[in-house]
Amino acid sequence: MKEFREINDHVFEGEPLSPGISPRETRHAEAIRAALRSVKTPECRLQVEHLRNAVLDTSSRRPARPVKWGWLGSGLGIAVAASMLAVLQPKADVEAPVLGQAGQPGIVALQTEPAEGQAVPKVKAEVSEPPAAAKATNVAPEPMRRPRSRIRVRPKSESKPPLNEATLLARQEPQAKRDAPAQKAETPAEAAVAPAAGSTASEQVVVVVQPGTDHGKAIEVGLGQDVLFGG
Amino acid sequence: MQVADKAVGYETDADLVVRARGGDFSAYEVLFERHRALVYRFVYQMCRKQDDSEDLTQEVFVRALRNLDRYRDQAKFTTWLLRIASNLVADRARSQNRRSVLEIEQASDGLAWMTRSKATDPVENLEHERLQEAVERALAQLKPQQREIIVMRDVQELPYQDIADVLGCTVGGAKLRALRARKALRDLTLALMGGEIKL
Repeated sequence: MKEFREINDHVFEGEPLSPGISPRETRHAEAIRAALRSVKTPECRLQVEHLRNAVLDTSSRRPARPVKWGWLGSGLGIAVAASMLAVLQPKADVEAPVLGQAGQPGIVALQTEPAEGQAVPKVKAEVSEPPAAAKATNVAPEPMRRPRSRIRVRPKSESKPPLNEATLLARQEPQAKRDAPAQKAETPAEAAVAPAAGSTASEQVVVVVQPGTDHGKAIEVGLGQDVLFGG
Repeated sequence: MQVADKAVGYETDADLVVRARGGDFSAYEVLFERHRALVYRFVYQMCRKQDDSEDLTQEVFVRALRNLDRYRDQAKFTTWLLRIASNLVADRARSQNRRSVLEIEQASDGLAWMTRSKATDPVENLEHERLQEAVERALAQLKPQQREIIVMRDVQELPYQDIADVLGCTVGGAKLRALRARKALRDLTLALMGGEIKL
């Protein structure tokens, strides 16, 4: 390769060769070079008149260039493709949905309404409608399960650990102390302490009339709280 | 016509182009007369058929006239013409790829009488003819890009700068392409000559 490169650079360019190139390679390159130089070309018969006629001819033929046929063909293809898409497009996309509303979460309504005279049956698809409400049967519906994501409310007592016997005994003693002032409180205002019908203990409002005053003083007392009187 | 012949010697290509752009067709005729042979020789060596070569040469000048506004004065007018010719030849080669081998063989046979050697020794003369035919055939069998650069450099003897302008590459790139094309030409010629050139 290196030898032939050197031959290229010198023989083909008409420069003297450096020593070391084989005579055979040199002879081949020189012979090919000479043959290329002696390549003949037949005489050109083209005249100015031909050019003039060609220019006039092409300028008169210019509207019928094949490029415009190409554009026409591509435009026709696009039109055919668009019409095919319009035919193949499902009508549900065009017509307004009957059941449910588009965009409403959990509701998918699909209806295909045939045109007049067509024998295509009406197709409806509904999703997420309550199953029990759709059927009017005598069988009682299964109880609906709450969604798991909903927060489960449970009483505080469940969260506490079970009490052992010693703890229960320890709690009974303060409870007995608590009962005594409560009984003591019944004396000045018995009616106010009585719970209202339908109300729970936690919502009780105990109205205590302090002795020695003309008007009562309302005190909100929670469940289990002691009501004590001073004096 | 006398005016045109006079203009061939006195006006530069750039001046003629300016006149032709202004609508003076006689100036373009002068350009045609001046560079017709160059374009025709290149096209003929590429497609090897006289009628097609003349048609293509005419097409080159018609296209050049149509696009004369696009011609930039930085490049030689001949370089621009050869670039148009190169594109047209490539288009034609793509469209007529199947028929090209047959046409090249016919063209090589028809060209033999023009490439006869002037050697007096009959044996040497015969060998020259064999070599000439082998080189012609090898040139025809080269890839179009390789043939193109061989024709421009070794047949038409254009400078590398002009070749680089025609091909749209650097001078170094043109030299590298010439090197590869010459190597391919040598291998093909030697194969056609039976591995040895007896000259």
